[in-house]
Amino acid sequence: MKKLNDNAEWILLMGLIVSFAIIFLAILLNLSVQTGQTASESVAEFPKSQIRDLRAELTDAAITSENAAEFDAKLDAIRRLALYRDNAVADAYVTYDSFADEKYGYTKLRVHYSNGVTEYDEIILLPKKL
Amino acid sequence: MVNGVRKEVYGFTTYDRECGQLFAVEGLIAALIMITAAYLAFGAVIPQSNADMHVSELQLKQMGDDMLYIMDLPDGNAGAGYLESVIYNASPNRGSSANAAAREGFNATFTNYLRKSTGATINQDTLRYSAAIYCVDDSGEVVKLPFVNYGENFGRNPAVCCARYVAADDWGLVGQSSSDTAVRLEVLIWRE
Repeated sequence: MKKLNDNAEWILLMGLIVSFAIIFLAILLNLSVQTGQTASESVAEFPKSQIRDLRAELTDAAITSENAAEFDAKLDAIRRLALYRDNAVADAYVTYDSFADEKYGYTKLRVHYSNGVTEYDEIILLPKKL
Repeated sequence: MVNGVRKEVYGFTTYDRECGQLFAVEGLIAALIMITAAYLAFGAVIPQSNADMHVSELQLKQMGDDMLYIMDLPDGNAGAGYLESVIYNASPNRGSSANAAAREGFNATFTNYLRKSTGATINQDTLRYSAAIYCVDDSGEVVKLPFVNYGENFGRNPAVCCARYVAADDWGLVGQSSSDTAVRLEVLIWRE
């Protein structure tokens, strides 16, 4: 052992350190790729516009319809279209003149949306001046 | 003492020149490292997704949804938005001239918004779309009616689907009853 030439020990050590640095950077790169993908996928899969659209359309239908039968005709079409084209369950239940105070009568609208991953429920009160 | 001379120590045969043992161990470790490296290298997969693509698709989808949204907004405090009048005229029982006018109007407005939304000059008009209307017929089945096509997706470019429910007054298919209902307008948007 005494005769071994050990001048290169420092080079070996530096090589080890550099290789650890490269491994560390590779792990960071890998993580960043996966993080970016998961984040944008979760944003893309969240049915934000679908829920806003459904809510707006059903509110509009509840306001313009005179009675529950008229509303249900529109709701039936929306329900079928959501099921066939959006793979989602959309439902609503409207109660006209649910209650009233001195100046306003309120129509109660229950909206339900579920695509298996995201579920959304809301009760909307639509005031109408008496 | 001369190297390589056999001698007897406590009944075992040993050699003086044993420096080679260290090299043998080093060789073994190097071989293990190389095999492990090769195993990892051949077993590795490259994730086939860059975040940039998702971002541009997200942008496109948000843009398309927003455009349909602003087209469906009422012009004033009450009443119907522009999209509702387009859908009203696009009803198959309204006649072919009204349908053609609806297509033309939708195409003009939508392409205008598409070009505006990129924030670029008209020279960078690279967005194409294909719109279709889905409605429910008398038997309760969902029917697809092709609406407007702006460009063909020959290159199979990745497209995003934007959709909106639109209230459709007095809507009906040819030869079927008409009613106040709702239809679904779907627009596929892609970059050329």
